Amino acid sequence: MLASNHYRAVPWNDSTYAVLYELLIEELDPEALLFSGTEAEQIRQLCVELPQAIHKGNTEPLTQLAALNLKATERALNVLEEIKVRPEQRNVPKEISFDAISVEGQKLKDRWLAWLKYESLQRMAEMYQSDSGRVAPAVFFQQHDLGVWQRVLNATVERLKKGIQGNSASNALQDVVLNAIAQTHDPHTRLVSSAQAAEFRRQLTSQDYRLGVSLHQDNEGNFVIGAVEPGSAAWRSGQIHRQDRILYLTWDGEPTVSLAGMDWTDFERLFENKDRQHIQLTVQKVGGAVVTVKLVPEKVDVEENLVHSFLLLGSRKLGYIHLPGFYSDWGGDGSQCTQDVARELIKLKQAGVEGLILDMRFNGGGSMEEAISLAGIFINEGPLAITKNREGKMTTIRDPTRGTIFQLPMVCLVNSQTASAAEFVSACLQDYRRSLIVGSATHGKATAQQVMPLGQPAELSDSLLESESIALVTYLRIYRVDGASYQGVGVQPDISLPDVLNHDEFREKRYRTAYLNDNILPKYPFTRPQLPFLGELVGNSQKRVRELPAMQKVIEDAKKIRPSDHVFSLTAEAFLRKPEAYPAGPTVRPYTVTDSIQGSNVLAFSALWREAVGHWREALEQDIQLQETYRILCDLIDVTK
Amino acid sequence: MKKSLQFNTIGLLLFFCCLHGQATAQYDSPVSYLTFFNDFLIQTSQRSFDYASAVAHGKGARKQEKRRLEVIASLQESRSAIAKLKGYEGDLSLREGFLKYLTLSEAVFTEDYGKVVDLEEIAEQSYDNMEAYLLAKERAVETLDKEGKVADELYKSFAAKHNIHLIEDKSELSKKTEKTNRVNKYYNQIFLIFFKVSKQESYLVEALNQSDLNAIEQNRNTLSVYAKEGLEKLKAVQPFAMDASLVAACRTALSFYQDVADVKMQPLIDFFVKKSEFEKVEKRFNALGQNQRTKEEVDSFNRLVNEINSASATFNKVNREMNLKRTQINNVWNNSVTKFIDTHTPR
Repeated sequence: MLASNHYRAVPWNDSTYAVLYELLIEELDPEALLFSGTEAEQIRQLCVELPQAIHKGNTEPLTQLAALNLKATERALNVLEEIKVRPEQRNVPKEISFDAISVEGQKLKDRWLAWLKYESLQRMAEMYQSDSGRVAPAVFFQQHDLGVWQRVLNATVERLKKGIQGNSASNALQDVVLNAIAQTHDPHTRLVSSAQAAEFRRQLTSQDYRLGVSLHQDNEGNFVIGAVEPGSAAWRSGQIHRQDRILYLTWDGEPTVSLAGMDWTDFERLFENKDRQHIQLTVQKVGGAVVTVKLVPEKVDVEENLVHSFLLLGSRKLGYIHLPGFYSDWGGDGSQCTQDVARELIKLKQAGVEGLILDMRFNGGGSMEEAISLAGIFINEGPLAITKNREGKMTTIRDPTRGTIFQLPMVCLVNSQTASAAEFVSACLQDYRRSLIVGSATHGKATAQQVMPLGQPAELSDSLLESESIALVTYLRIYRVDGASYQGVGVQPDISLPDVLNHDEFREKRYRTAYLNDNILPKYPFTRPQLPFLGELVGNSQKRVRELPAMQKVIEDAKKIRPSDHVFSLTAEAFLRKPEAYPAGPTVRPYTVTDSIQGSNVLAFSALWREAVGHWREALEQDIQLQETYRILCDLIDVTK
Repeated sequence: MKKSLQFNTIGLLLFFCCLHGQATAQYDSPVSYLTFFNDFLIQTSQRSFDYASAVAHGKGARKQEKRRLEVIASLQESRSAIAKLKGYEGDLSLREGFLKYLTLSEAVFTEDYGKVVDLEEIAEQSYDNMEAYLLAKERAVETLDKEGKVADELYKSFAAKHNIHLIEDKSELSKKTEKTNRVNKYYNQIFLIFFKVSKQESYLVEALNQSDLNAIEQNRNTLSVYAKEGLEKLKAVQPFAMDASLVAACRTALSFYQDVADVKMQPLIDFFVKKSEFEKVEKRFNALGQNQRTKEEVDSFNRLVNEINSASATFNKVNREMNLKRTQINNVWNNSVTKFIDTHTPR
């Protein structure tokens, strides 16, 4: 399938076998805790056989890999069992190195001890940061060390056991191998299992199956229920209340999962990758009683997936739209983000805004169709971009509808996590000089993937997403309207702002199989219009950034992030730190935030949404990047009037 | 002594009937030789005029096509006859010149007007297509005109060489053809202004029927721009032979479209926005059991229901009025066009 559909078929040779090995090991044993040096070498040899064997339906190399995995995992479980009975050993390791070197014997046990301590310290660091008390790090460490360490150890044992149990384990290993083969082609080509497909759908749709509760993790690492959504499944059970602590969770037909020692990411995954199944929660009430409640998740709007707008009221009235992703109406009864943006823009125009901030930070992309429509909302007519397929055929993407919805000055706020479809929109708006791009360089992904059921010809339709397993296959490269590309380099902002995430480690470049940047000769020449006032705006912003202590702190913090660090000191002092308070900004913030018209109607009927909007409003008022973007847009309005 | 030559319609028909017989005959005078060519000019001009008239008076595509094929047949016949003609006292220039003219004319009617037929099929699909169609028609006319002038020069040159005095008054047919072309050019100019805006309004109506808020708002903004541009262009268009009816009809139509864009659409868009918000509220309200709803929530919801009902009634009223007015405007425009063409285009 990859040979027939992928943008660039990969020739299997020493170099690509080596990449396959690295990808496989990264997935199976990222911290070098399982396989010995000999076993790692055996896996390297298997990698030379795996692609052809799978293509021919020969399962022998996969069986051998499973056997190696089983042996290594059982050995690790034995080591962990030894460690369990001697908890005092946890204080032995002083540092850990993440340079992946396979070790055996006592060195393997030492490595496990170091890793467990590292994970425990990470959990305690999160608890310490959210703890409102003023306990010293050493005291906090003493209070929680053993409990957290035991929870981490138990969770690790559970995870390893699950990894070698029955059919689901062998299917999971097969998925890992297939994905590694896929990603040898490029980092965005991958297999999506049925469980992951549901998550993928969730990311692209605005609806999801929910229980109607908000949750948080307390100091002990317990998962505690916050607000309960009126009318939701949890509400109607009459047995789920605020402050209930969730102990166990059981999905229909699956084993009961203990939440002890689980981190937030694993917990979220348990809750959100199921579809219409019954779930049983075992909760401990505030008084200590334990009850078990059976619930059926319901399809509700996933509010955080949807577009929202606010008014920023200061020296000027500006509109703010947060666009979290390019969702589409895949299911037939949900929202499409372009329609939602259009609606919000109409509301903002009615409210009399003078300009717009479109916030696409952390927008990881989504539907390209929606992205094209969205660009068309702001660009009157003309070519938007050029695509190139595996045969080298170039196609110009055009604005599908003549006209615009919004003509006033605007700024797009982006960062290193603004990717794919969001970069497409940023690039289009920048090329036509329709919007200033503010923030930091975007992610650098200028490829498009198509969704394919495994084993069938490619055709995008709703039914594909109902398939058990699907594949995302890279089939197009995207170029800007002048032939340049943001692949690997991102869309460069017109005005840069300090950002702790402004590192290539967080961008497309970090993937070893990412495509390199190149350009093409477009059929029709395109010259980007000049902005004679841009220098003045940049100068004003840089001056404000220099004078704002909070911004200077961001610059300092950004320098401290060294994602490539491989050696960590395993001490309480190194991990348990209260977040340094940012220097107070100007006492007068440039704006206050209010809901745009009509949005407030929904708030009357949703406790969860009221709570979320309240937090959100506060966060927007404190957001120093947004504050500076507000000032930049005010400058832009001044010079273009 | 100068000889005079006048065009005579009845005489032409007789000559046409004797066309083949005369093809290889010897002509005893340059006048009779020249008359022979003149007959062809008139014959093809008549056929061409008939075609232009059919097009201008909006005869059905079949009738237009029939006329076009008749013109082509006539040209081929004429070419065949003239090719057999000997020169006058060895002077082949007139024969060669006319053959070239007829060949080019045939090409225009076959290719250029053939293209026009193809373009006509898709002209209504978009402004760009319509513009291309009208331009193609104008180009065909211009090409014919140009070639006709060349033939005319040859004709005059032969006459001058053989001391034939040509009476310069234009034939009735020639005058008709010229006037038809002028009327077409004038009409096309105004029609394009009208069509661009009315086509844009049709995109808006389509978006409205699909409840596509994004497309509604984009098309509405474009309609407003096009209507204003069109009204501005109309200011520079003078009446045709003191007849300003077409300009007036176009202005009325464009003013209606501008009103649609800037005024009429607003309550319709408001309805869609309100509806979207109401649907969210309704979903949440219905999720609450009757016993779980507070008085405040019930009152709020009822207020929203009243608002959306009111917005819905306004939507229906405005939409109905707009549709009615649109029909009236289109009728006025179509009637104005028919009257204008009938008044000014010779039959």
